[in-house]
Amino acid sequence: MFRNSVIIKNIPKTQVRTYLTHNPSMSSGDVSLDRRPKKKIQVGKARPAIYYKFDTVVQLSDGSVVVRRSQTPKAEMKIINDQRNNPMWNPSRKDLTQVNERAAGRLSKFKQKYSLFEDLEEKPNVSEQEAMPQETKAAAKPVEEEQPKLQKSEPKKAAMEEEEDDDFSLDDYLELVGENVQEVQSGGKLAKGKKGK
Amino acid sequence: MLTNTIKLQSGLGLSLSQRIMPASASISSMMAGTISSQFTRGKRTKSKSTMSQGTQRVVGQLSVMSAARKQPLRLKLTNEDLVRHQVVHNAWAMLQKQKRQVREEKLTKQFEAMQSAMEDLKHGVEDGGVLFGFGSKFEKTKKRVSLELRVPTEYPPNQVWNHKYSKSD
Amino acid sequence: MKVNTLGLRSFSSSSIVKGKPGYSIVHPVHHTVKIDKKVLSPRFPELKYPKNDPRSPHFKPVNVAPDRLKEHYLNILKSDLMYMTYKHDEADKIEGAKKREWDGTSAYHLNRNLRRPSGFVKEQPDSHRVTNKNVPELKSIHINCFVPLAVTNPHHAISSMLQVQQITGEKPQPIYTKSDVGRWQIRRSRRAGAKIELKGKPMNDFLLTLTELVLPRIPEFQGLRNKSGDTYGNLHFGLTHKQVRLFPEISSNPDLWPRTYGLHITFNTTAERDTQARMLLSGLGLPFFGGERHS
Repeated sequence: MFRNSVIIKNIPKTQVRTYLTHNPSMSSGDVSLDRRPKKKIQVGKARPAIYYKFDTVVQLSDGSVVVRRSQTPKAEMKIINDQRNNPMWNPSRKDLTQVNERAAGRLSKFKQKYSLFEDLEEKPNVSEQEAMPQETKAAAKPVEEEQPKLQKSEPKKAAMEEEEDDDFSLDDYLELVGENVQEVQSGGKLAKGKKGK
Repeated sequence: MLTNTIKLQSGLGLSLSQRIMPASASISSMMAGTISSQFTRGKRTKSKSTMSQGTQRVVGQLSVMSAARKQPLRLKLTNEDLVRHQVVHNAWAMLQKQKRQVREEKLTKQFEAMQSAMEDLKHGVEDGGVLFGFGSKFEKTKKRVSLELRVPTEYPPNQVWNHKYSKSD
Repeated sequence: MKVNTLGLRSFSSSSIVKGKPGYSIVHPVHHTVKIDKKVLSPRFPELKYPKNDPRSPHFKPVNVAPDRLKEHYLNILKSDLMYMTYKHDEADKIEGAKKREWDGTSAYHLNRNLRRPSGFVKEQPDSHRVTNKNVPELKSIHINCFVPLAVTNPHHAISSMLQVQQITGEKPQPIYTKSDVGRWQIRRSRRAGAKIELKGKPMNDFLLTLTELVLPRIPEFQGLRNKSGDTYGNLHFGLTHKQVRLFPEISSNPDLWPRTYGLHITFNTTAERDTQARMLLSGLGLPFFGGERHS
């Protein structure tokens, strides 16, 4: 009862005003929500708070469907990351976590994270190595595995381009890197270190 | 001022269109900015109160939280409806009671069976207390229910049963 | 009862001398049947109905939809928990340290407060053996969202209330500050947050949302600590203001939530020991980590 009514005595009026309306979020002409009058509920008319809720059909990541009741007006929901996708709730599933026994150190952790771009680093080295045995294995039958690589290594300048065609991930990566891109705009205020007005 | 007096004099005598239009509908008054407007998300709406955006949001939050006037209507039950409700209510309660009794009976039997089995192992079996020892050893281990024993959903997943399941470490 | 010359009823002989009405020494009759006077009065006929009667204004429908967590517990978990918590040769009741009565050897023992438990130990409740009658069950979930910022900016008090309401689906109660600390900018008895006790279906719904949607989305979430607990079967953990955003009610419209508030969640179980409570909650979908504190 007394929580909402602030009993102030013997305080000058100017101080009272600032005390009551001190709210950094509100502007000077704003409505104060602290001192709004309480709504009178008649005896016998008080009802419990029953909110309108929607029955949302939620599809989890493994295809199972759950019905949820909430106030958000959504009829259906499809969730990508949830309990069924999480390795902690599915310890027996190996496809969720990439089990790497060597992933102890930071370097191995980095390699695991960027495992997609592993091939880029390896392939130029592989092509150099193949250039060597090419001379020695002139008479020997070419191994099936090395055949596509040998074919690629001959035109060295066009090697990268051909590799692009075969490996789609490389294609995207190189596009992102922008091999043949020329800087259109160089410098500017940021680069020169100039500050705006 | 003039427009206000006109409004008072005419009253019901005005035509429908005239009544709908505000008294001070002249362009000059609009331009003068007598009607306060607020730009919110591409709409120019008239705001009657001078509340900041923050306060407006909070007022909205208060209205959402208050269930008053948003509750379902009070049920007006006739005598027939009342009887129907009572019959259904009692039938449901009776069914739940029966189910509960069945469950509790089953649980009691399980517990008694477990107790008698352990007693037999302790005293009945003559193996030097080996089998009973296993039970007591298990009692001391840290036990958790597997997270894979999940709460069932309304509809089953795409892969209903994993036939290639192997226990994880 | 005597009637004196003035015609006044007198109950004590002393009053006749003074001429004043004395106090009554009529012994009251104790009613064996408890009478609720509210029911006797003709006012408010609607309030006389029980709360689960649809004619009462307090009526709130309960069995609206099937409760799958409850069914899972009753069908699968309960019997499993009974097996897991079973201990042969355990006493039915282990007395906990209780406050003791004074002997009565001294006259001053009368109406004295009870003695401290023997051995300078805090008072402990009795510990009962788990049987088919008292298998550990989740009783209620308490959510506490304390926002001291609301003392300086009252809008936070309302926003935090709404946040808790949206997360749970039930109306919370406000929290009021209890202390005056200038350094933390809090003053006594100011609204600062929201709290709610969830029971039954709302509790089960909230727990399912937590275990299926919210907790799996928390990055690097390890689970509840094995050390968390009040030693009597109640476990506790918290969510930061960023983790609270993962609730579908808040993540579906992030523009409406420029600010969210962290909260504390306490699981109250009928388990009498923390180890039993952890077994129960692991079955309800909560992971645990770390060294256990045996109780």
